[in-house]
Amino acid sequence: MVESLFPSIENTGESSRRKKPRISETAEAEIEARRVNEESLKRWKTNRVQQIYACKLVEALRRVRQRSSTTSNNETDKLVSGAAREIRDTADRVLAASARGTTRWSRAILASRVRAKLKKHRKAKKSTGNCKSRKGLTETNRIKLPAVERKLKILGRLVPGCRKVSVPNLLDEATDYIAALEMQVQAMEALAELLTAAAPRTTLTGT
Amino acid sequence: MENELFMNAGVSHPPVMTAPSSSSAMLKWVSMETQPVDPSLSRNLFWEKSTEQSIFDSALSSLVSSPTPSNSNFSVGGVGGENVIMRELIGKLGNIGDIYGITASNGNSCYATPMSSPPPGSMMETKTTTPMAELSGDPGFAERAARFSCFGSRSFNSRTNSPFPINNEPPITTNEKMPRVSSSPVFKPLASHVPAGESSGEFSRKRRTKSKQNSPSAVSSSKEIEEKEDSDPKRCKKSEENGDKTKSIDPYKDYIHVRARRGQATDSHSLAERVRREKISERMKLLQDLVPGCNKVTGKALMLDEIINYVQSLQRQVEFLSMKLSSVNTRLDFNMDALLSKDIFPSSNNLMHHQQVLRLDSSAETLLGDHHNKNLQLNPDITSNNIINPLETSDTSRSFIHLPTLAHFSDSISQYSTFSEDDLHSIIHMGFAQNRLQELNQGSSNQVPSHMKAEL
Repeated sequence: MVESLFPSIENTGESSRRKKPRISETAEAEIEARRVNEESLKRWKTNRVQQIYACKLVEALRRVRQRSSTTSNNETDKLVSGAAREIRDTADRVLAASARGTTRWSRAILASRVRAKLKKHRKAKKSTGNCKSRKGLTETNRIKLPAVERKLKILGRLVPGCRKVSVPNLLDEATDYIAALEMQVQAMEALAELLTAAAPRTTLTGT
Repeated sequence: MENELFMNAGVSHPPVMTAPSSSSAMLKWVSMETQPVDPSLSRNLFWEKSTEQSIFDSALSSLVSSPTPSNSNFSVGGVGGENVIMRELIGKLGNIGDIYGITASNGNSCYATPMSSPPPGSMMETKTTTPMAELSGDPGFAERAARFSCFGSRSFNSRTNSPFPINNEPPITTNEKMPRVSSSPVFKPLASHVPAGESSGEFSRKRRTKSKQNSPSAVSSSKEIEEKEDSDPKRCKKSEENGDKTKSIDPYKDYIHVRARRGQATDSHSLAERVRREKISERMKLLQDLVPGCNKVTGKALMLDEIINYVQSLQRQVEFLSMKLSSVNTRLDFNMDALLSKDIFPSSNNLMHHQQVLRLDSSAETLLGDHHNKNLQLNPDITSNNIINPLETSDTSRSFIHLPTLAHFSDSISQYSTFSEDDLHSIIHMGFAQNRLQELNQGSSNQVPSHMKAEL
């Protein structure tokens, strides 16, 4: 049943994607963009995507836990925050993987890990401040841009990998990113609930 | 009507390309074209009759007055006849250009090169426009002629019937251009009729030429026709930009067809601007639907504020949940994880709940006190619910009710996980799968390895 589920959904998704270029030949770009957006939004609400994300997340968390369990558990606070960051990064990466590389932010998230690793290697060799140039730019550009453009820049900073992206593309990416984030929050909430449901109940009954 | 004009405007002298004799140039050009076409031969005779002056007079008179349609001399059938008509009109324009005393000598050199540059492709437009350069040096004339040359055969067919009282034929590309072009009184009747057509609905030139031509040479020819237009730089650029966008889709039709709306500016700049604005507003509308509370807000700035706030709040939620998960994670063992993973989504299977509950009991010793305190602080309501009614399936299902979108689980989630591992592999090179495989091998859940084998 699972096998039957996935191929059918994937085929429909791919066929609809293939159909779009043919239709856009005659239709205008706006209609095409709208369709793309609707497709992208709907896909974050499908059951299949959610299930994929959930199970991937679980596996990733298991890995993280495994890794964290090997480390020392002396400083709980530090461990928690470090683990929290790791879990958040893992969850983001899983989310980006669920996007299947179609969106810019997902590719940026997945690429950032590779970049971080490379940076670590580079830093081991030579100590250079990579963030310096970026900070310098933001500091020197104190000119007040119009409000809308300022906010678009802020939005670009929020969405990963979308700093120098054109406005319509940025809005597209933001749409998809918001839908994906919503799904991520729901999945993590459910998972946290599940896990916390187990924990306190047993301890309370124990006491 | 046009037939008469050209017939009366016949030229006696041989086809010599002298600068002032645009009519002779016309004749030569026409003769070039008309050799393969039979109906035009009859016109040549007429052409040789009158002199230049008569050309001028007849042209003026025909243009100003409302001419009678007379297609009797023409066998207007097919492309040949239409081309002849076009040529006639262009010749007429050439005559009118002479009226204003603009020497052709200046123009010849200027316009010879750009207009002769296009490949003598199969397109009528290019053929008609290349000789145009030689006809007159009037840059305005060249512009106008180029525009007229862009008239599709359709429009000319209709125009031959009622040429100058141009009825509301939508496919008149130069409508938008005409008001700008006509500084000449001769063109006023044209212009006055044109707005009628204009108001009914305007097409961009691209659409016109596009609808006719379906070949790459068409693209190049229509493009360079546009290049001739001094007033059309932006559209050209935009079309190229749009072409770049849609190039991957269709290499031939690399234009985004834009239709200017009624009562709005038809400037290419404003058209492009409008397209851009519409795109952005389209996407903002989508975002508005997605972000809660954006319906009341109007205006881009405020909406962007809301969107930014929403994204920040979602990211903060993710961080908070990850912190929560990390605190829960550290205290659980493999058993719990594997079993709980199945129940992440509410399943309709009651047995699953029972199993979950039983397994929770079995792994109770692994949970520690301080961890429990933290969880209580975080979400007292949910935990209390679970504490009070641990064995009732209704509660476990109730806790998931507020997540309706998370669908019930059909089979064991491990199947999905193995499938997703393949997805991961295809996308990124991470150590996920390797670690997972190791875990699965060591994992205590019995179903996982069997499913893994089945999937892989």
